[in-house]
Amino acid sequence: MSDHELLEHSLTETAELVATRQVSPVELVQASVRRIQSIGNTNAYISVLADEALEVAKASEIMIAAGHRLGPLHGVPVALKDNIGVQGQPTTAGSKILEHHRPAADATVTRRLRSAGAILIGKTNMHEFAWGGTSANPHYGFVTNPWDTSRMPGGSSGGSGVAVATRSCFAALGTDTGGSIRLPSALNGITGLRPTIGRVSNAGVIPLAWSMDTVGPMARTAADCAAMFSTLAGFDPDDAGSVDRSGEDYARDLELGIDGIRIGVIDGYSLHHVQPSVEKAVREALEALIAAGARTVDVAIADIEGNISAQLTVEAAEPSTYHQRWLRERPQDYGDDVRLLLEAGELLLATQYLQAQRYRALLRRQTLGALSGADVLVCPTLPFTATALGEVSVEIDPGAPEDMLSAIMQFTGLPSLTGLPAISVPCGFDDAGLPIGMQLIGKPFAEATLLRIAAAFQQRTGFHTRVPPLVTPS
Amino acid sequence: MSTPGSPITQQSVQAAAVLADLRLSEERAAAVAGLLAAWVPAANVLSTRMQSSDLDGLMPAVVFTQGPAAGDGDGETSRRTGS
Repeated sequence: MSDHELLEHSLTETAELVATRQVSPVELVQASVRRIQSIGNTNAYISVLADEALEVAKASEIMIAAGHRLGPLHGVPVALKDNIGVQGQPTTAGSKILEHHRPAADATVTRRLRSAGAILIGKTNMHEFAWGGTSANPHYGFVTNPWDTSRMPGGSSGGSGVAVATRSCFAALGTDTGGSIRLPSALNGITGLRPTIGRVSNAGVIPLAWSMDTVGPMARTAADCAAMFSTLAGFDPDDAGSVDRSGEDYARDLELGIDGIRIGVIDGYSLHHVQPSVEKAVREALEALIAAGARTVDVAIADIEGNISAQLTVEAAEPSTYHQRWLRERPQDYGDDVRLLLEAGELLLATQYLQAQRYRALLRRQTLGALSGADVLVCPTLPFTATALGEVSVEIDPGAPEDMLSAIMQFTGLPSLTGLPAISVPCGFDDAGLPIGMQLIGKPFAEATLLRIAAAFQQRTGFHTRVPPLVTPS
Repeated sequence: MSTPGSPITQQSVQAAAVLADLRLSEERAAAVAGLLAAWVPAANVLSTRMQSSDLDGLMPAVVFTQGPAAGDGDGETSRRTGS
Protein backbone atom coordinates (compact mmCIF):
# COMPACT_ATOMS: atom_id res chain seq x y z
CA MET A 1 0.00 0.00 0.00
CA SER A 2 1.09 3.56 -0.59
CA ASP A 3 1.58 5.92 2.32
CA HIS A 4 -1.57 7.71 1.26
CA GLU A 5 -3.56 4.47 1.38
CA LEU A 6 -2.09 3.53 4.75
CA LEU A 7 -2.77 6.92 6.30
CA GLU A 8 -6.11 7.85 4.77
CA HIS A 9 -8.33 5.74 7.02
CA SER A 10 -9.73 6.93 10.33
CA LEU A 11 -8.38 5.67 13.64
CA THR A 12 -11.26 3.25 14.17
CA GLU A 13 -11.01 1.93 10.60
CA THR A 14 -7.26 1.50 10.96
CA ALA A 15 -7.56 -0.26 14.28
CA GLU A 16 -9.88 -2.76 12.61
CA LEU A 17 -7.48 -3.22 9.70
CA VAL A 18 -4.69 -3.99 12.20
CA ALA A 19 -6.87 -6.35 14.19
CA THR A 20 -7.77 -8.29 11.04
CA ARG A 21 -4.13 -8.25 9.90
CA GLN A 22 -4.88 -6.38 6.68
CA VAL A 23 -2.38 -3.70 7.72
CA SER A 24 0.79 -4.04 9.74
CA PRO A 25 1.63 -1.68 12.61
CA VAL A 26 5.14 -1.56 11.18
CA GLU A 27 3.85 -0.22 7.86
CA LEU A 28 1.73 2.34 9.70
CA VAL A 29 4.66 3.62 11.76
CA GLN A 30 6.92 3.82 8.73
CA ALA A 31 4.31 5.71 6.75
CA SER A 32 3.66 8.06 9.66
CA VAL A 33 7.36 8.83 10.03
CA ARG A 34 7.65 9.58 6.32
CA ARG A 35 4.58 11.82 6.50
CA ILE A 36 6.05 13.64 9.50
CA GLN A 37 9.22 14.25 7.51
CA SER A 38 7.23 15.57 4.57
CA ILE A 39 5.43 18.15 6.73
CA GLY A 40 8.56 19.33 8.48
CA ASN A 41 7.98 22.93 7.43
CA THR A 42 4.90 23.05 9.68
CA ASN A 43 7.03 22.54 12.82
CA ALA A 44 4.22 20.32 14.09
CA TYR A 45 6.53 18.01 16.02
CA ILE A 46 9.20 18.70 18.61
CA SER A 47 10.40 15.11 18.83
CA VAL A 48 9.69 12.06 16.73
CA LEU A 49 9.91 8.73 18.54
CA ALA A 50 10.67 6.81 15.36
CA ASP A 51 12.98 4.14 16.80
CA GLU A 52 10.86 3.36 19.82
CA ALA A 53 7.67 3.41 17.76
CA LEU A 54 9.14 0.95 15.28
CA GLU A 55 10.16 -1.46 18.03
CA VAL A 56 6.72 -1.26 19.57
CA ALA A 57 5.17 -1.75 16.14
CA LYS A 58 7.18 -4.91 15.57
CA ALA A 59 6.08 -6.26 18.93
CA SER A 60 2.48 -5.26 18.19
CA GLU A 61 2.64 -7.14 14.92
CA ILE A 62 3.88 -10.30 16.64
CA MET A 63 1.17 -10.04 19.27
CA ILE A 64 -1.59 -9.69 16.70
CA ALA A 65 -0.20 -12.61 14.72
CA ALA A 66 -0.41 -14.65 17.93
CA GLY A 67 -4.03 -13.65 18.31
CA HIS A 68 -3.48 -11.20 21.14
CA ARG A 69 -4.86 -7.68 20.87
CA LEU A 70 -3.83 -5.33 23.67
CA GLY A 71 -6.81 -3.06 23.28
CA PRO A 72 -8.95 -1.01 20.89
CA LEU A 73 -6.01 1.13 19.75
CA HIS A 74 -3.60 -1.76 19.17
CA GLY A 75 -0.96 -0.90 16.62
CA VAL A 76 -2.24 2.61 15.80
CA PRO A 77 0.22 5.56 15.83
CA VAL A 78 -0.87 8.52 17.93
CA ALA A 79 0.90 11.72 18.98
CA LEU A 80 1.03 13.55 22.29
CA LYS A 81 1.28 17.25 22.96
CA ASP A 82 4.67 17.96 24.48
CA ASN A 83 3.38 18.94 27.91
CA ILE A 84 2.18 15.36 28.45
CA GLY A 85 4.76 13.19 30.15
CA VAL A 86 6.38 10.24 28.42
CA GLN A 87 8.82 8.30 30.53
CA GLY A 88 12.42 8.97 29.62
CA GLN A 89 11.52 11.12 26.62
CA PRO A 90 11.84 14.91 26.29
CA THR A 91 8.72 16.65 27.62
CA THR A 92 9.47 20.31 27.07
CA ALA A 93 6.04 21.98 27.19
CA GLY A 94 7.35 23.90 24.18
CA SER A 95 9.82 25.70 26.40
CA LYS A 96 13.52 26.33 26.73
CA ILE A 97 13.20 26.03 30.50
CA LEU A 98 12.17 22.36 30.23
CA GLU A 99 14.23 21.49 27.16
CA HIS A 100 16.12 18.82 29.11
CA HIS A 101 13.17 17.59 31.15
CA ARG A 102 12.61 13.85 30.89
CA PRO A 103 9.88 12.53 33.20
CA ALA A 104 10.58 9.53 35.37
CA ALA A 105 7.16 8.12 34.55
CA ASP A 106 4.44 8.31 31.95
CA ALA A 107 1.53 10.63 32.52
CA THR A 108 -1.63 8.70 33.35
CA VAL A 109 -3.10 9.42 29.92
CA THR A 110 0.09 8.16 28.27
CA ARG A 111 -0.10 4.96 30.29
CA ARG A 112 -3.74 4.43 29.36
CA LEU A 113 -3.03 4.89 25.66
CA ARG A 114 -0.17 2.40 25.84
CA SER A 115 -2.40 -0.06 27.68
CA ALA A 116 -4.91 0.22 24.85
CA GLY A 117 -2.15 -0.69 22.40
CA ALA A 118 -1.53 2.74 20.87
CA ILE A 119 1.94 3.45 19.50
CA LEU A 120 3.42 6.82 20.48
CA ILE A 121 4.83 8.33 17.30
CA GLY A 122 5.94 11.73 18.57
CA LYS A 123 5.56 14.79 20.79
CA THR A 124 3.88 17.73 19.19
CA ASN A 125 4.81 21.39 19.23
CA MET A 126 2.70 23.89 21.13
CA HIS A 127 2.46 27.41 22.41
CA GLU A 128 5.11 27.75 25.10
CA PHE A 129 3.81 26.31 28.37
CA ALA A 130 0.35 26.29 26.71
CA TRP A 131 -0.04 29.98 27.49
CA GLY A 132 -1.29 31.23 24.17
CA GLY A 133 -3.65 30.51 21.30
CA THR A 134 -1.45 30.63 18.20
CA SER A 135 1.38 28.09 18.74
CA ALA A 136 3.88 30.78 17.72
CA ASN A 137 6.76 29.07 19.48
CA PRO A 138 10.07 30.99 19.54
CA HIS A 139 12.11 27.97 20.69
CA TYR A 140 10.92 25.18 18.36
CA GLY A 141 9.55 27.17 15.46
CA PHE A 142 6.17 28.69 14.79
CA VAL A 143 3.68 25.95 13.99
CA THR A 144 2.08 26.65 10.61
CA ASN A 145 -1.35 25.82 9.28
CA PRO A 146 -1.38 23.04 6.65
CA TRP A 147 -4.33 24.69 4.87
CA ASP A 148 -2.18 27.79 4.33
CA THR A 149 1.32 27.72 5.76
CA SER A 150 1.43 31.52 5.99
CA ARG A 151 -1.21 31.24 8.72
CA MET A 152 -1.30 30.06 12.29
CA PRO A 153 -2.97 26.77 13.29
CA GLY A 154 -4.40 27.96 16.59
CA GLY A 155 -3.20 26.78 19.95
CA SER A 156 -1.98 25.94 22.28
CA SER A 157 -2.22 22.38 20.92
CA GLY A 158 -1.35 23.60 17.42
CA GLY A 159 1.13 20.84 16.70
CA SER A 160 -1.42 18.17 17.58
CA GLY A 161 -3.98 19.86 15.34
CA VAL A 162 -1.59 19.90 12.41
CA ALA A 163 -0.38 16.37 13.10
CA VAL A 164 -3.90 15.01 12.84
CA ALA A 165 -4.96 17.18 9.90
CA THR A 166 -1.94 16.11 7.86
CA ARG A 167 -2.63 12.42 8.56
CA SER A 168 0.81 12.00 10.14
CA CYS A 169 -0.91 10.20 13.02
CA PHE A 170 -4.38 8.81 13.55
CA ALA A 171 -5.18 10.90 16.58
CA ALA A 172 -3.40 13.09 19.08
CA LEU A 173 -3.79 14.30 22.60
CA GLY A 174 -4.06 17.96 23.37
CA THR A 175 -4.64 19.91 26.53
CA ASP A 176 -7.34 22.54 26.92
CA THR A 177 -7.44 25.26 29.54
CA GLY A 178 -9.05 28.22 27.74
CA GLY A 179 -9.60 26.54 24.37
CA SER A 180 -6.36 24.84 23.45
CA ILE A 181 -7.89 21.66 22.03
CA ARG A 182 -10.89 23.30 20.46
CA LEU A 183 -9.16 26.23 18.76
CA PRO A 184 -6.59 24.22 16.77
CA SER A 185 -9.26 21.64 16.02
CA ALA A 186 -11.42 24.33 14.43
CA LEU A 187 -8.57 25.97 12.52
CA ASN A 188 -7.23 22.63 11.22
CA GLY A 189 -10.58 21.12 10.23
CA ILE A 190 -10.56 18.27 12.77
CA THR A 191 -12.65 17.18 15.75
CA GLY A 192 -11.50 17.93 19.28
CA LEU A 193 -13.07 17.26 22.66
CA ARG A 194 -12.58 19.14 25.92
CA PRO A 195 -13.91 16.89 28.70
CA THR A 196 -15.84 17.74 31.82
CA ILE A 197 -13.35 19.06 34.36
CA GLY A 198 -11.94 16.13 36.33
CA ARG A 199 -13.10 13.47 33.85
CA VAL A 200 -9.62 12.80 32.49
CA SER A 201 -6.53 12.69 34.69
CA ASN A 202 -4.06 15.55 34.57
CA ALA A 203 -1.41 13.57 36.47
CA GLY A 204 1.92 13.85 34.67
CA VAL A 205 0.83 16.83 32.55
CA ILE A 206 2.64 20.13 33.00
CA PRO A 207 -0.02 22.54 34.25
CA LEU A 208 -1.12 25.89 32.94
CA ALA A 209 -4.09 26.80 35.18
CA TRP A 210 -4.95 24.17 37.76
CA SER A 211 -8.63 25.01 38.04
CA MET A 212 -9.27 24.76 34.28
CA ASP A 213 -6.74 22.31 32.80
CA THR A 214 -8.02 19.26 30.91
CA VAL A 215 -6.60 16.63 28.54
CA GLY A 216 -8.58 15.42 25.55
CA PRO A 217 -8.52 13.78 22.13
CA MET A 218 -8.06 15.42 18.75
CA ALA A 219 -8.90 13.26 15.76
CA ARG A 220 -10.43 13.19 12.29
CA THR A 221 -13.91 12.07 13.36
CA ALA A 222 -16.27 11.98 16.30
CA ALA A 223 -16.01 8.18 16.29
CA ASP A 224 -12.25 8.43 16.58
CA CYS A 225 -12.56 10.88 19.45
CA ALA A 226 -14.98 8.48 21.12
CA ALA A 227 -12.51 5.60 20.81
CA MET A 228 -9.72 7.70 22.30
CA PHE A 229 -11.91 9.14 25.06
CA SER A 230 -13.13 5.70 26.12
CA THR A 231 -9.49 4.88 26.83
CA LEU A 232 -8.70 8.13 28.64
CA ALA A 233 -11.67 8.83 30.89
CA GLY A 234 -11.93 7.47 34.40
CA PHE A 235 -10.89 8.07 37.98
CA ASP A 236 -7.20 8.45 38.77
CA PRO A 237 -6.10 8.49 42.43
CA ASP A 238 -2.90 10.26 41.35
CA ASP A 239 -4.87 13.36 40.36
CA ALA A 240 -6.48 15.22 43.27
CA GLY A 241 -8.97 16.79 40.87
CA SER A 242 -10.04 13.50 39.32
CA VAL A 243 -13.72 12.71 39.59
CA ASP A 244 -14.54 9.37 41.17
CA ARG A 245 -16.47 8.03 38.24
CA SER A 246 -15.63 4.94 36.26
CA GLY A 247 -15.00 4.82 32.52
CA GLU A 248 -17.66 4.45 29.85
CA ASP A 249 -18.04 3.32 26.27
CA TYR A 250 -18.31 6.65 24.53
CA ALA A 251 -19.09 5.06 21.17
CA ARG A 252 -22.32 3.60 22.50
CA ASP A 253 -24.60 6.38 21.22
CA LEU A 254 -22.88 7.27 17.96
CA GLU A 255 -25.52 5.61 15.77
CA LEU A 256 -28.55 6.80 17.73
CA GLY A 257 -29.29 9.82 15.56
CA ILE A 258 -30.40 13.15 16.97
CA ASP A 259 -34.17 13.07 16.66
CA GLY A 260 -35.58 15.42 19.26
CA ILE A 261 -32.20 16.76 20.41
CA ARG A 262 -32.57 20.35 21.61
CA ILE A 263 -29.77 22.72 20.60
CA GLY A 264 -29.67 25.90 22.67
CA VAL A 265 -28.78 29.16 20.93
CA ILE A 266 -27.67 31.71 23.51
CA ASP A 267 -29.30 35.14 23.16
CA GLY A 268 -26.87 37.87 22.18
CA TYR A 269 -23.94 35.45 22.19
CA SER A 270 -24.02 32.34 20.01
CA LEU A 271 -23.92 34.12 16.67
CA HIS A 272 -22.92 37.55 17.88
CA HIS A 273 -19.72 39.35 16.84
CA VAL A 274 -18.42 36.81 14.32
CA GLN A 275 -16.98 37.07 10.82
CA PRO A 276 -19.65 36.57 8.12
CA SER A 277 -18.16 33.32 6.79
CA VAL A 278 -18.14 31.81 10.29
CA GLU A 279 -21.72 32.85 10.97
CA LYS A 280 -22.84 31.44 7.63
CA ALA A 281 -21.13 28.11 8.24
CA VAL A 282 -22.60 27.68 11.72
CA ARG A 283 -26.10 28.67 10.60
CA GLU A 284 -25.90 26.13 7.76
CA ALA A 285 -24.65 23.53 10.22
CA LEU A 286 -27.68 24.18 12.40
CA GLU A 287 -29.92 23.69 9.39
CA ALA A 288 -28.24 20.36 8.75
CA LEU A 289 -28.78 19.32 12.35
CA ILE A 290 -32.45 20.36 12.14
CA ALA A 291 -32.82 18.36 8.96
CA ALA A 292 -31.48 15.40 10.93
CA GLY A 293 -34.18 15.75 13.54
CA ALA A 294 -32.82 18.25 16.07
CA ARG A 295 -34.47 21.52 16.97
CA THR A 296 -33.12 24.82 18.22
CA VAL A 297 -34.30 26.58 21.35
CA ASP A 298 -33.48 30.09 22.49
CA VAL A 299 -31.77 30.28 25.88
CA ALA A 300 -30.37 33.08 27.97
CA ILE A 301 -27.33 33.38 30.23
CA ALA A 302 -27.79 36.69 32.02
CA ASP A 303 -24.21 37.36 33.09
CA ILE A 304 -22.37 35.89 30.14
CA GLU A 305 -20.77 39.23 29.30
CA GLY A 306 -18.16 38.94 32.06
CA ASN A 307 -16.75 35.68 30.77
CA ILE A 308 -13.72 36.98 28.87
CA SER A 309 -12.49 39.10 31.76
CA ALA A 310 -12.91 36.23 34.20
CA GLN A 311 -11.14 33.88 31.82
CA LEU A 312 -8.19 36.25 31.52
CA THR A 313 -7.95 36.82 35.27
CA VAL A 314 -7.99 33.15 36.23
CA GLU A 315 -5.88 32.02 33.31
CA ALA A 316 -3.30 34.71 34.08
CA ALA A 317 -3.10 34.39 37.87
CA GLU A 318 -2.73 30.62 38.04
CA PRO A 319 0.15 30.21 35.56
CA SER A 320 1.91 33.18 37.10
CA THR A 321 1.75 31.38 40.43
CA TYR A 322 3.11 28.14 38.97
CA HIS A 323 5.95 29.96 37.22
CA GLN A 324 7.01 32.21 40.07
CA ARG A 325 10.39 30.56 40.65
CA TRP A 326 11.44 30.30 37.00
CA LEU A 327 10.24 33.82 36.28
CA ARG A 328 12.67 35.08 38.91
CA GLU A 329 15.55 32.73 38.15
CA ARG A 330 15.36 32.50 34.36
CA PRO A 331 13.14 35.25 32.96
CA GLN A 332 15.24 35.57 29.82
CA ASP A 333 14.47 31.95 28.87
CA TYR A 334 10.80 32.64 28.24
CA GLY A 335 9.46 33.87 24.93
CA ASP A 336 8.54 37.54 25.06
CA ASP A 337 4.77 37.02 24.85
CA VAL A 338 4.60 34.40 27.61
CA ARG A 339 6.99 36.33 29.85
CA LEU A 340 4.78 39.41 29.57
CA LEU A 341 1.66 37.42 30.45
CA LEU A 342 3.36 35.84 33.44
CA GLU A 343 4.60 39.19 34.74
CA ALA A 344 1.19 40.76 34.33
CA GLY A 345 -0.55 37.83 36.03
CA GLU A 346 1.62 38.32 39.12
CA LEU A 347 0.14 41.77 39.64
CA LEU A 348 -3.57 40.95 39.53
CA LEU A 349 -5.14 41.33 42.96
CA ALA A 350 -6.26 38.38 45.06
CA THR A 351 -9.69 39.98 45.25
CA GLN A 352 -9.91 40.22 41.46
CA TYR A 353 -8.96 36.56 41.16
CA LEU A 354 -11.47 35.43 43.79
CA GLN A 355 -14.26 37.54 42.34
CA ALA A 356 -13.53 35.87 39.00
CA GLN A 357 -13.80 32.51 40.76
CA ARG A 358 -17.13 33.57 42.31
CA TYR A 359 -18.25 34.64 38.86
CA ARG A 360 -17.46 31.12 37.62
CA ALA A 361 -19.89 29.72 40.17
CA LEU A 362 -22.53 32.19 39.00
CA LEU A 363 -21.88 31.46 35.34
CA ARG A 364 -22.06 27.73 35.92
CA ARG A 365 -25.37 28.09 37.72
CA GLN A 366 -26.80 30.18 34.87
CA THR A 367 -25.41 27.91 32.16
CA LEU A 368 -26.82 24.81 33.81
CA GLY A 369 -30.09 26.70 33.97
CA ALA A 370 -29.90 27.29 30.23
CA LEU A 371 -29.15 23.59 29.75
CA SER A 372 -32.22 22.59 31.74
CA GLY A 373 -34.19 23.40 28.59
CA ALA A 374 -31.68 22.10 26.05
CA ASP A 375 -29.39 19.14 25.50
CA VAL A 376 -26.44 21.19 24.25
CA LEU A 377 -25.55 24.80 23.55
CA VAL A 378 -24.09 25.90 20.22
CA CYS A 379 -21.78 28.65 18.98
CA PRO A 380 -18.74 28.91 16.71
CA THR A 381 -15.53 27.60 18.23
CA LEU A 382 -13.99 30.99 17.49
CA PRO A 383 -15.28 34.04 15.63
CA PHE A 384 -12.70 34.08 12.84
CA THR A 385 -10.63 31.82 10.64
CA ALA A 386 -6.86 31.39 10.74
CA THR A 387 -4.90 34.64 10.77
CA ALA A 388 -1.43 35.33 9.41
CA LEU A 389 1.56 34.07 11.37
CA GLY A 390 2.73 36.44 14.06
CA GLU A 391 -0.40 38.54 14.23
CA VAL A 392 -1.26 39.76 17.74
CA SER A 393 -4.53 41.39 16.76
CA VAL A 394 -7.49 40.37 14.62
CA GLU A 395 -10.36 42.19 12.90
CA ILE A 396 -13.64 40.42 13.48
CA ASP A 397 -15.44 43.57 12.39
CA PRO A 398 -13.54 45.27 9.53
CA GLY A 399 -11.47 48.22 10.65
CA ALA A 400 -11.76 47.33 14.36
CA PRO A 401 -8.64 45.45 15.48
CA GLU A 402 -8.93 43.50 18.74
CA ASP A 403 -6.37 41.83 20.95
CA MET A 404 -5.82 38.29 19.71
CA LEU A 405 -5.91 36.59 23.12
CA SER A 406 -9.28 38.05 24.13
CA ALA A 407 -10.78 37.57 20.69
CA ILE A 408 -9.69 33.97 20.31
CA MET A 409 -11.32 33.00 23.63
CA GLN A 410 -14.64 34.68 22.85
CA PHE A 411 -16.49 31.35 22.74
CA THR A 412 -14.12 28.85 24.30
CA GLY A 413 -14.12 30.55 27.69
CA LEU A 414 -17.66 29.48 28.58
CA PRO A 415 -16.93 25.73 28.98
CA SER A 416 -13.54 26.45 30.53
CA LEU A 417 -15.03 28.66 33.22
CA THR A 418 -18.00 26.39 33.95
CA GLY A 419 -16.20 23.03 33.83
CA LEU A 420 -18.57 21.71 31.18
CA PRO A 421 -17.56 19.50 28.25
CA ALA A 422 -17.34 20.90 24.74
CA ILE A 423 -16.52 19.62 21.29
CA SER A 424 -15.35 21.41 18.15
CA VAL A 425 -16.66 19.92 14.93
CA PRO A 426 -15.61 20.95 11.38
CA CYS A 427 -18.58 22.73 9.81
CA GLY A 428 -17.33 24.56 6.74
CA PHE A 429 -14.65 26.58 5.03
CA ASP A 430 -14.31 30.27 4.28
CA ASP A 431 -13.72 31.78 0.84
CA ALA A 432 -9.98 31.25 1.24
CA GLY A 433 -10.47 27.54 1.96
CA LEU A 434 -9.74 27.87 5.67
CA PRO A 435 -11.62 25.57 8.08
CA ILE A 436 -14.41 26.70 10.40
CA GLY A 437 -15.43 24.92 13.57
CA MET A 438 -18.72 24.69 15.44
CA GLN A 439 -18.64 24.28 19.22
CA LEU A 440 -21.22 22.25 21.11
CA ILE A 441 -21.30 22.56 24.91
CA GLY A 442 -22.81 19.80 26.99
CA LYS A 443 -24.07 19.01 30.45
CA PRO A 444 -21.64 17.63 33.03
CA PHE A 445 -20.33 14.21 31.98
CA ALA A 446 -22.44 14.24 28.80
CA GLU A 447 -19.54 13.74 26.40
CA ALA A 448 -21.43 10.85 24.81
CA THR A 449 -24.20 13.27 23.78
CA LEU A 450 -21.69 15.67 22.24
CA LEU A 451 -20.07 12.83 20.31
CA ARG A 452 -23.48 11.53 19.22
CA ILE A 453 -24.46 14.90 17.73
CA ALA A 454 -21.05 15.35 16.12
CA ALA A 455 -21.28 11.87 14.60
CA ALA A 456 -24.75 12.55 13.22
CA PHE A 457 -23.48 15.79 11.69
CA GLN A 458 -20.49 14.02 10.16
CA GLN A 459 -22.70 11.32 8.68
CA ARG A 460 -24.48 14.04 6.71
CA THR A 461 -21.57 16.32 5.84
CA GLY A 462 -18.07 15.87 4.48
CA PHE A 463 -16.12 18.75 6.02
CA HIS A 464 -14.16 16.42 8.27
CA THR A 465 -12.99 14.32 5.32
CA ARG A 466 -11.23 17.10 3.44
CA VAL A 467 -7.44 16.98 3.48
CA PRO A 468 -5.17 20.06 3.54
CA PRO A 469 -3.44 20.93 0.27
CA LEU A 470 -0.10 20.37 1.97
CA VAL A 471 -0.82 16.64 2.00
CA THR A 472 -0.61 15.04 -1.40
CA PRO A 473 -1.07 11.36 -2.26
CA SER A 474 2.22 9.47 -2.47
CA MET B 1 3.38 50.10 26.24
CA SER B 2 1.61 52.27 28.84
CA THR B 3 -1.82 53.52 27.82
CA PRO B 4 -2.11 57.34 27.83
CA GLY B 5 -4.48 58.55 30.54
CA SER B 6 -4.58 55.22 32.31
CA PRO B 7 -3.82 55.16 36.06
CA ILE B 8 -1.87 51.98 35.36
CA THR B 9 1.55 53.33 34.54
CA GLN B 10 5.08 52.05 34.37
CA GLN B 11 5.64 53.57 37.81
CA SER B 12 2.56 52.02 39.38
CA VAL B 13 3.45 48.65 37.89
CA GLN B 14 6.96 48.83 39.28
CA ALA B 15 5.56 49.68 42.70
CA ALA B 16 3.17 46.74 42.52
CA ALA B 17 5.99 44.46 41.37
CA VAL B 18 7.89 45.33 44.55
CA LEU B 19 4.98 43.90 46.54
CA ALA B 20 5.33 40.69 44.55
CA ASP B 21 9.12 40.64 44.94
CA LEU B 22 9.35 40.75 41.16
CA ARG B 23 12.04 42.81 39.50
CA LEU B 24 10.87 44.64 36.39
CA SER B 25 12.93 47.05 34.34
CA GLU B 26 11.30 50.30 33.26
CA GLU B 27 10.82 48.90 29.80
CA ARG B 28 9.22 45.69 31.03
CA ALA B 29 7.05 47.60 33.51
CA ALA B 30 5.78 49.78 30.68
CA ALA B 31 4.86 46.71 28.64
CA VAL B 32 3.10 45.10 31.60
CA ALA B 33 1.27 48.37 32.23
CA GLY B 34 -0.12 48.26 28.71
CA LEU B 35 -1.44 44.75 29.24
CA LEU B 36 -2.92 45.46 32.66
CA ALA B 37 -4.52 48.67 31.37
CA ALA B 38 -6.47 46.43 28.99
CA TRP B 39 -7.37 43.81 31.60
CA VAL B 40 -7.92 45.56 34.90
CA PRO B 41 -10.87 47.83 34.08
CA ALA B 42 -12.96 44.84 32.99
CA ALA B 43 -11.80 42.86 36.03
CA ASN B 44 -12.95 45.70 38.27
CA VAL B 45 -16.31 45.88 36.49
CA LEU B 46 -16.70 42.17 37.15
CA SER B 47 -15.68 42.60 40.77
CA THR B 48 -18.32 45.31 41.16
CA ARG B 49 -20.94 43.01 39.71
CA MET B 50 -19.92 40.27 42.10
CA GLN B 51 -20.30 42.63 45.09
CA SER B 52 -24.04 42.73 44.47
CA SER B 53 -26.04 41.72 47.55
CA ASP B 54 -28.02 39.13 45.60
CA LEU B 55 -24.79 37.18 45.23
CA ASP B 56 -23.72 37.26 48.88
CA GLY B 57 -23.98 33.50 49.34
CA LEU B 58 -21.89 32.64 46.28
CA MET B 59 -18.59 30.93 47.06
CA PRO B 60 -15.59 30.89 44.72
CA ALA B 61 -15.36 27.89 42.44
CA VAL B 62 -12.14 26.81 44.14
CA VAL B 63 -13.64 26.03 47.58
CA PHE B 64 -13.33 22.42 48.71
CA THR B 65 -16.66 20.64 48.49
CA GLN B 66 -16.76 17.51 50.59
CA GLY B 67 -20.00 16.22 49.18
CA PRO B 68 -23.06 15.10 51.18
CA ALA B 69 -22.81 14.38 54.88
CA ALA B 70 -22.64 10.74 55.87
CA GLY B 71 -26.05 9.09 55.48
CA ASP B 72 -27.35 12.00 53.44
CA GLY B 73 -27.50 10.61 49.92
CA ASP B 74 -28.47 13.70 48.00
CA GLY B 75 -26.82 16.43 50.05
CA GLU B 76 -30.20 17.99 50.85
CA THR B 77 -29.51 18.12 54.60
CA SER B 78 -26.29 20.05 54.15
CA ARG B 79 -28.01 22.40 51.68
CA ARG B 80 -30.93 23.07 54.06
CA THR B 81 -28.83 23.69 57.13
CA GLY B 82 -25.82 25.18 55.43
CA SER B 83 -23.55 22.73 57.28
